[in-house]
Amino acid sequence: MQPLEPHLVCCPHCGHASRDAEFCDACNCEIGELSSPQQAAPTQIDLGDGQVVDCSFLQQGWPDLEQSEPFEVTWQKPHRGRLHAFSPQHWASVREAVEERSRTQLRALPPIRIIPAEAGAVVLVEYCEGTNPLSELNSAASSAGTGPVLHEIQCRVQLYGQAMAELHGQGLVWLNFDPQAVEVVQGEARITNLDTVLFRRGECPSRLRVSPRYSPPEVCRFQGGRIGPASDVFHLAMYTYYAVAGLLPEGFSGRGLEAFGFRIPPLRIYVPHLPAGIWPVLARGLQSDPLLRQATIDEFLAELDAAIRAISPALWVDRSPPGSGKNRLISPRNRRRQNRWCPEIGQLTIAGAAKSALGAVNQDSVVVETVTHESRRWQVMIVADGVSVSRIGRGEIASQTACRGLLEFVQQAVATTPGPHDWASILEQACLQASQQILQVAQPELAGLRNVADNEVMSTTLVMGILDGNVLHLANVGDSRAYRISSNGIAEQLTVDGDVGTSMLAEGVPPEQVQELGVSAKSLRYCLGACSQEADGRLVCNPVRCRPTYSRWELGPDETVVLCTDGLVEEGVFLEPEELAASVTAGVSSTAQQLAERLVCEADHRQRVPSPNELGGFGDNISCVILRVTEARQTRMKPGTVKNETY
Amino acid sequence: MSEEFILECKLDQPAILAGQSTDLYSLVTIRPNISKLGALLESAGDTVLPAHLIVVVDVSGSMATLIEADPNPKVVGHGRVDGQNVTYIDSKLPSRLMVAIKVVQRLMERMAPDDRMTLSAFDHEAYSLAVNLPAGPELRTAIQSLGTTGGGGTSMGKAFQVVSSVLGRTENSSHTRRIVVLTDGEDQEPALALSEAESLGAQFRIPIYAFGTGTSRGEFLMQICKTTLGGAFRDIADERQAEDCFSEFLTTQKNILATNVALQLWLSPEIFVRELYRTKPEILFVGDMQPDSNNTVQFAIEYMEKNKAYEFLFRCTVPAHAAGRFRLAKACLLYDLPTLGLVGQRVEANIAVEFTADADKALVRVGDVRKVIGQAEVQRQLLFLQQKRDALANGSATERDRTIVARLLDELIRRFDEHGDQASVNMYRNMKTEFLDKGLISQEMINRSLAASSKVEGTVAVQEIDDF
Repeated sequence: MQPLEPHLVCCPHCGHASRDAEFCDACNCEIGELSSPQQAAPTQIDLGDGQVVDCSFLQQGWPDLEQSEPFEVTWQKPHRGRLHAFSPQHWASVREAVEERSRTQLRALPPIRIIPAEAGAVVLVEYCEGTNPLSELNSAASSAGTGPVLHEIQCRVQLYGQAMAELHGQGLVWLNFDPQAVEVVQGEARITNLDTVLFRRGECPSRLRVSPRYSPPEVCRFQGGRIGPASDVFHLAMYTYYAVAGLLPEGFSGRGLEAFGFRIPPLRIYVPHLPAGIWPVLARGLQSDPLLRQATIDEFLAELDAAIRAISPALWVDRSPPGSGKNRLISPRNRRRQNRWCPEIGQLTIAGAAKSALGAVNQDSVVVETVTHESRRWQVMIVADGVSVSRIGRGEIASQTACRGLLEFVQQAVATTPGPHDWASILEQACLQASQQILQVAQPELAGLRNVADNEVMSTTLVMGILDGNVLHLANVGDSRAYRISSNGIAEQLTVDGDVGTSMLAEGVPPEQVQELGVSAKSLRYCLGACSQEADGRLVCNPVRCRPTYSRWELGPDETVVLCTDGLVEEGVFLEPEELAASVTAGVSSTAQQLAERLVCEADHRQRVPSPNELGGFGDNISCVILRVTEARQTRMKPGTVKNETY
Repeated sequence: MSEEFILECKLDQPAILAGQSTDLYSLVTIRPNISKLGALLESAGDTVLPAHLIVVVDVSGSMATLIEADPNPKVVGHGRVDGQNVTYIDSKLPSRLMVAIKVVQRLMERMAPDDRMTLSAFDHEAYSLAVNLPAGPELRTAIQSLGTTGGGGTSMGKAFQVVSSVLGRTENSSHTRRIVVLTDGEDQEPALALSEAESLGAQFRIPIYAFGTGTSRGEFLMQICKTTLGGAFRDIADERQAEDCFSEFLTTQKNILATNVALQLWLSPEIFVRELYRTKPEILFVGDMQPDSNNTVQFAIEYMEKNKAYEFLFRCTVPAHAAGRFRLAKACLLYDLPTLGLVGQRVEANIAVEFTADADKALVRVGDVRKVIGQAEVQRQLLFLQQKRDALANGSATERDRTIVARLLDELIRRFDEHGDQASVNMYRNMKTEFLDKGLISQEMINRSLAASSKVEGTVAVQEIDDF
């Protein structure tokens, strides 16, 4: 065997000569580590006073530079703690930082002890008596299956928040936030993953463990200048979101927040019966831009507290409708109605500039009617958006048929059944019947036709409200929506879109996979008129795809509810929810009818009439119903009000 | 081993969870080794290599258009140029061609005695006006003749054919050679221009600096300038910018330190190779890498300047492996250093990732790489936007395309908003307003955003003292 040339090495895996001493030129296997040889580490640490910590786990040498988990140690019972070991080279690079950490004494940080050892060092953190790792609580909550109640979540959030606020007071942030890395000592949270490092606001280290579940954009992008207390607001808002959605401890399935551009899905998708007011607080805390979040932890906690207080003193978890596999939060509030309520309603539907220019008809339908029985009255509001692409029938026929059928069903239901009414059931039956009626209307056109696919028959989306006193019963099918605009000018969607993307999210599909579907994710999954094909080719009504999502809302005196089609509000295309809120807030002195007209006009301005570049123009039919409820004793009539009677 | 340049390789994720396949970004940085080249980097004069400036100027009819809009034009007549209705005006502002003559003239004035210039012009034909001339009356006359040449359509490829033939006849290997092209319109034979540019890159390895103004297409010029990785694209909006761009062109050419520079990447056959970007000195989306049968891909950079870092980012999918280190690529820098008499130098570095069982370790990310990824992706999004813009312009866009454009613009606004870059936020907001109002985005707006996307955050443009 010929000796190798001096600049060649022999690969121990394939035996070939390699110029590269690190990886074999032939088989690409690693030939040798370039790191320095292993140095001996201590096998015991003398703490003085005769106390010795056994470190036999270091027999193999110092741990890897990137080793993250400390060693659990015990010595002279009952002493217990965790130990971080640093080789001489590692210690040289971190010594300054660890010494600074040692000097930083906060309630949120357990005291640490630095002990020099064999030219390196160990850092020892001793557990106090009664230390309780919060991780147990988080994992217990998730394993319970039904999820924790909201006030319990709030208690935990406050614990984290207090620790964060104390760090912020010292110009520090919890950049490596991990809800499991906390221990509770005498009712206070102590952070356990800041034993050997501290993170200053306005700075970002060159290497960092980025949490795919919790790290905000500025951390993932290493934008040191944007890191501050608002980064921890994001952490805490994200934790709250997961806790309320029942997604702890894993968070979203998939690759994490960055994979879907931090576009956090509305919480209501996971908790359809989430009380109003919570999501806007979390949504603000989860803004990508830290400047748009609550500036401090205290501000976030105060907003969350106010939102929870506004809905109920106690919220309990119940099972969701069968098949959803999700938990829901329900409010047991049964506040006695002491006042009489006066609704003020405005409504408008138009074809829109683009469709009008093409001579197309309006395929939306809107109904606002008062239903009475004996001495009781209910306000019925329906907005339906006929689907424009259908081979059998037409969108406008579907939406008109649905509106007519739904109204008749409600009139009949209140006349034939004694109260109190089970609106969830009534609305579900109404939708099923309306769906069957649409298919019935399509039958003459279906006769004689072969190979008609189930998605070729006319259909419509729907959002429907029944106002009973100040309680609004909502049902929606498809992507027509209801928004609540609160007295402080924040829009919150009360409905969950019945499209493919939303359904996939609710079923636990990773958000990035839904995003990859692009505009296909907006395809309707639920609609009235939805049918399926029997084995003999007949089309029959599909009761699952026309089942509405029902919710119940108690309205306050300064709130506005907007029922609308996607021609009014659609993110990135027509009005944004924030613009809707701004217009509603600006129109506080207008009548509901004036407001409806203004909103429709604003959305219409976003449309483009046909041009040589855009032969079909760009736009949709626009429809909305505006609902305000005021207490009767405070009400005065406003001109232009469509309906104004007390209930 | 050579040490004049440092080749540094970083991964956005240095460790992957064992048994998992992952998309990885690798950043390859080349920087001069100050400890080895210190004196050379600071010295001037005798270390400056002579330059051969190859200037290609569009002299099509549209070059008679004012370089920027005149707010107070005096209309003197109407006519048709390049098949378009035009209005003749009397203005104090210069035309694009007048500006071109002025900046080339200025380039000549700054040439050193041993520098040379080749000047070609093109409309739908090519015109060779000067070949390998030193600064002087003959070159001056050639530059002035730009004003009386052409007037027809636009075919850059024809000019590249002339340049190819000139370079084939010219032997001045001691000179650094780069091409600068100034054009103002849409090329009528883009395929010819691209193939000729590619041939210039392959045959002569000459970097192309493509400067566009008016209705030229930024995306097309970026294709032209990436035929070697030493090229650059600029969008010129006014006379001042034209002067700056040409001045920078000469300054950077006189700053060249290394020649015959190439980056070679051996890519493990196990990885799925994806796209490559040049991210320094300017961002340029290069596209998908096509390794040869030896799993190697080579990019000509041709020149490296003093005190400048060069950086390349590429993406690949690494298959699942057991715990241990895995080499996904090996980078090799090849170069000559004429001032030190060094030829055929090479520096190598392995790009390896660690597969680990430690989930926490797999969460570590590297800031330097992450910052670059964000910047580079913007340009790719804009090139995608250009495709959609073309579909909108020729009426083939679907409803779905329009929704995609609206969402993409929102995404860009959001991205720059998050970065606190208000100028870019405004630029994309204006673009969105234009799109929502007219259903179209102007090519000028796309050009401006493409030019902005090639700038690296935090870099300062080379500025001459006589610019003040």
